[in-house]
Amino acid sequence: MLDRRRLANIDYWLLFLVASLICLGLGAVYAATGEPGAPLAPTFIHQLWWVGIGTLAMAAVALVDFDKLQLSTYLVYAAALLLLLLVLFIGHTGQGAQRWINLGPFRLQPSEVSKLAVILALARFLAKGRFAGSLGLREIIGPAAIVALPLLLILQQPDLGTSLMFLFVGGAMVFCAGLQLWLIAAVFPVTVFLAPILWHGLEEYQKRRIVAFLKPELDPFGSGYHVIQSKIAIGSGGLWGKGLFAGTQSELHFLPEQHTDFIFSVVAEQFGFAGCCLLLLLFTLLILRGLEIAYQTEDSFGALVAVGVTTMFALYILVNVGMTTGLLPVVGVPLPFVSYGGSAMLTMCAGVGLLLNVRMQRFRFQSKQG
Amino acid sequence: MAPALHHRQTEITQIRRRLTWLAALLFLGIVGVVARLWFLQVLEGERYANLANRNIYRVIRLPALRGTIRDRNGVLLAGNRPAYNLVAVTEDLADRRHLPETLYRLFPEEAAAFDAALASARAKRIPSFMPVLLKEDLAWQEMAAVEQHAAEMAGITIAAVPVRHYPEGELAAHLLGYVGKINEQQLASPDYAGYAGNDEVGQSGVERTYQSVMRGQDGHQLIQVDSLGRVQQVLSVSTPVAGPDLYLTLDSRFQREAERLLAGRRGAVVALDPRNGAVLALASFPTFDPNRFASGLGAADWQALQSDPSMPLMNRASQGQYPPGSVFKIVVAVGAMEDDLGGVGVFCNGALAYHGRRYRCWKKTGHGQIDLHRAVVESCDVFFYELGLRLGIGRIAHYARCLGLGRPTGIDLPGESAALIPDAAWKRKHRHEPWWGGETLSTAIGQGFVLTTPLQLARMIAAIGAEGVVRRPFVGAAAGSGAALRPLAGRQDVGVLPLSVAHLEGLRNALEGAVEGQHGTGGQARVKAVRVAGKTGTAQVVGMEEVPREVPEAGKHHRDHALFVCFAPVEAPTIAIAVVVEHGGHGGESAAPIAGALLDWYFRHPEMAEVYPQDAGKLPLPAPSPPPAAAAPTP
Repeated sequence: MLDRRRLANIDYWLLFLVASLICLGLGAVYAATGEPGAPLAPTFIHQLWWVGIGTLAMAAVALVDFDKLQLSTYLVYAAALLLLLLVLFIGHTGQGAQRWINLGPFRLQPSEVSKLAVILALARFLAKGRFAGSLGLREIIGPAAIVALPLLLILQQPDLGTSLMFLFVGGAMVFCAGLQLWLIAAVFPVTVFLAPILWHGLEEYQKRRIVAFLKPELDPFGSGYHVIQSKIAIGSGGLWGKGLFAGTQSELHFLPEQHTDFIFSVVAEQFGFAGCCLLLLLFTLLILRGLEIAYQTEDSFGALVAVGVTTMFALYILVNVGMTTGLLPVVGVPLPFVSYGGSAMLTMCAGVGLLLNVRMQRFRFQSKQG
Repeated sequence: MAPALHHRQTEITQIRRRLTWLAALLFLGIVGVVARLWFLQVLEGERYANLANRNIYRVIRLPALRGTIRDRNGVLLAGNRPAYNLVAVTEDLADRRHLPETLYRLFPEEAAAFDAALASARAKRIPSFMPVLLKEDLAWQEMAAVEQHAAEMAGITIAAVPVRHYPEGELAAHLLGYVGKINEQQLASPDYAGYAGNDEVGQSGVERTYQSVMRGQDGHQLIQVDSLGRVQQVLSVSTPVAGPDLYLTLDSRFQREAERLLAGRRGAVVALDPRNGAVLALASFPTFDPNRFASGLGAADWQALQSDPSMPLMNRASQGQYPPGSVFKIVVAVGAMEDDLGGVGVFCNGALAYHGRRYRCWKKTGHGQIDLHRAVVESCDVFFYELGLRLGIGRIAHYARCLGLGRPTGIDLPGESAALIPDAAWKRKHRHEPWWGGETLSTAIGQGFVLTTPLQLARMIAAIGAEGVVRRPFVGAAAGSGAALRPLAGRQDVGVLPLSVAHLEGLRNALEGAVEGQHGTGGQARVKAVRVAGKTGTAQVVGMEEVPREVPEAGKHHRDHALFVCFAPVEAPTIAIAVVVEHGGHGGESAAPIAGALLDWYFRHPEMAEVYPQDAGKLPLPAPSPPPAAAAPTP
C-alpha cells in the first residue's frame, strides 16, 4: 500500500505552502491571544494540538489507497449525516447555534468535517462519464439531493455560513462537471425569487447581521460593532502595520472574536497591507496549485475532488476577508489554516490530504497508459 | 466500453474547460479583496488610524482652582473651600445596577434622586470606573454617617471638590457677585469658547467681569483605555494652573462700615477716589449671601430671590435708577456758569408762575433775592426753575452728559444701567410728543423724566472735586499669583468738564457752603477738622399732582428718596460719596448723616487716603498672604 513510488510523488510545493500558512496562522493566533513576555495562552497551545492532529489527518488521507477512497465515499457521506443528526441531539450550544460534539478535551464541529464528505460523494456521483460532461435539469436532481441532505441538517443548528459554503462548493463542482449554460443563467432569477422566502427562514441574529452589514452605523454598539471595529483595525494598519503586539484594536480588545473569525483583522492591523498581501499571495498560490492538480488529473473523480477542495479553500478565504473588510455580511467563516479552531483545521488539513492523494494518482494513470 | 471511455474523455475535457473559468472567477475575487484592502489600508488608512486613536484615548480635564478675590489690603473676600460630594463608582458596587441598601437607609429622602443619577449615568454610557455624583456638599453629620458605614457600602465614596466660598458672607455681595453653572446662552456665545457644560462661571459682579482672569488653566490627562473603558496607562499629564488672585480697590473695613450704615433700609452707597476713579466702597441693600449660589441654589430658592419685592439681587448702586432731585442742581449750576448766566439774580417768593401754573419752592416763605451761590447752599427751587428756563432742556441735557449722566459709567461690573437724561429728541422718539416748557422746570430740579444711578452721581461729584476730570470708576486693581501682579485697566479719564478754573472754584465754594455753611442743607455730613463739599437731594417718588409734597403721613412707599453727594477735603479731595436712601425722606436728614459717618471713619484711617493702585508697574499691593485655605484637605 505504501509503495515508494507514491511517496516519491508527494507534492512538496503544496506541502510547503500549507506549512507556511499554518506557521503564519500560529503567529497570528499568538499575536491575537498572547502578550509579550507572558506564558503562552491556552488557546495557542490548543491550536498547536490541532495542528498536530490536522497533520496526522492530512497524512492519513493522503496515503489512503485512491481506489478504496473512491469506493468508501458513500459510507463516509452516511457517517457524516449521522454525525450531523447527532449534533442536533447531543450538541453543544454556542452563540445561538448548536454546533459542537464534545470529544474529551476537544470539541468537534461535524458541519466542518461533513464538507469533505459531501465533496467526495458529489465527485463520485458526477464522475466516471455518467453525464458525459453535460448536466441538464434532470441530471442535477441527484447532486442537489446529495448537497441538500446535510445542508438541511446544518440549517437546523443553525449555521448559515457553512450552509452557503455547501451551496457554492457544490455549485462549483456541478459547474465543472458540465452544467448546461442555460441553467447557470437561470440561477440569478431563481435567487431573486427565493431571497424573500429565505429571509423569513433566517434566525433573528442572522437577520441582524445582514442588516448590520448593509448599514453598520445604525447600531455601532450592537451588531454593527464587529464590522466597524474590524474595519478600523484593518484600516489603521496602513501600509506596513503597527507591528507585532502593537495593534491597539486587538491588544485592547476592541476587536471581537479576534483569534477566530476576525483573525485577519489582527494580521491586517499589526502587519498592514504588506502583511495582508503576503498572506493573500500564499493563498493564491495554494488555490492555483489546487486547480493545477485538478487540471492535470486524468481521472474525473480525482479532478472533481480537487475542484471541490480548492473551491472550498478559495471561498473560505474570500468570504472571510470579505466580511472582515465589510464587503460581505458577517457569517461565521474561519480563515483556512490561520483562524483558531480545531474542526476547521482538521477539515482543511484533510482537504490538503485529498489534494495530495489526487496528485499522486496522476502518475499512476500515466504509468498505466504508458 | 468504448462509449463509456469516450464519455470519460469528454468529461475530462469539459472539466478542464470549465476549470479555466472557475480559475478566472476565483482570481477576480482575490483581486477584489486586494483592491478593498488597498482602499481601507492605504487610501483611507489615516482616517482609520484616527478612529483607532479615538477608540483608545480619553482626555480627562483637571479643572483649575479659581483665583481668589481680595481687597486692597489682601483680605480674602472670595476663596475656595473643599466640598464633600457623595459619589458612586459603579464598577466597585456589589451589584452594579443597585446602590447598597445602607445608603438608602442613611438618605431616605434622596432615594429617588440617587436612582435617577445612576440611571442617567448608565444611559449616557459613562464608563464604570468614573464616579457618578449622587449628592453635593455633604453636611458634617452626613459625612460621618457615610464613613461609619463605609464597610457596608463598597463603591460609595466621598470625593472632595473645591467650591467657591465667601468668608465674609454678605459683605460686598453685589460687587463680588457669585458663581454658578454656565448656562446655555453662555455656552453658545463665543465669549465662553472652551468651556464645558458643567463649568462654574461667574454670573454677576466681578466674578463675572473677571471670569477669564480668575479661571486659570485647566490641566489635562491623556489616558489610554481598553474597550471596557478601563485605564491602561496615563500617557501625559498637564497639571492645572490655579487662576490668578484678583485684588480690588475696595477696603473691606470701609465697605463693612458702609453696609452697617445702610442696613435695614433700601438704597446704595458709593465711595470713589476722585483722583483715579477707584471704588472705595460700593454697598447696596437689601443684600444676599453669595455662598448660597456656590453650593447649588435650588430652583425654589432662586425663584424666591428673583421675585422678592425688595429685589435683593439688584445692585442698586449701578443698576438702581433714581430721580436725582436737587443733586441735579449741580448740573444746572455748571451749565449756567458756562453759558454766562452765573451772575443771574432771582427773587424767590416761594413759587414761580409759568404758563398759568405755580411751581413751588420747597421753602414756602421763599428765599427772597438770591444768587447762584446761595441758591446752591440753600437749594432754592425757584432760582433753578429760572435758570432752567433760560438754559433750555437742550443745554441742560448737554451739561448732564458732560458730567457723565445718562450713560453707563463703564465700571467693571456687569449689567450697569444707563439711566436717563431726557431732551426734546428723546421725548419725540419715545413719547411721540413735543417737549413742554414745564418739563424743563421739573428737570432743572432733578424731577420728571430724569433718572440717575448712585454710581453716576458719585462719579459726577468726584469730577467736580477732581478739577473737572470725569473718570471711569473701577474695582479691579490688579491680578496675579504670588508677587507677580499685573495691573488691570486702572485709571481711565473719560472727559474733562467744560468749566473754567474760576467757575469750578465758585461751584466748590457753593457746595462747601451747602455742608459747612450756616444755612446749608447738608450740615449733617460735617466731620471734625475736614471741610466737606456736598449737595442734598430729595426726590419725589410720585408726581406733584398726586400727593402733596412734604406730607409726613404719606405711606412709606410714597415718601421721597433721600440723596446726598459730597467730596472731601474740599481743597484736595481724596474721597467722593453718593448716598441714596429709598423713601428716606429728606436728603439732608437721612442721606447726609450716612455720608458724614463714612467720612468720619475715613478720616480716622489716614492710610485710606493713599492712592490705590498707584501707577502701573508700581503697585503698592499687600504682600501675598498664605494660599487660601480652600485647597487644604481638611474640612
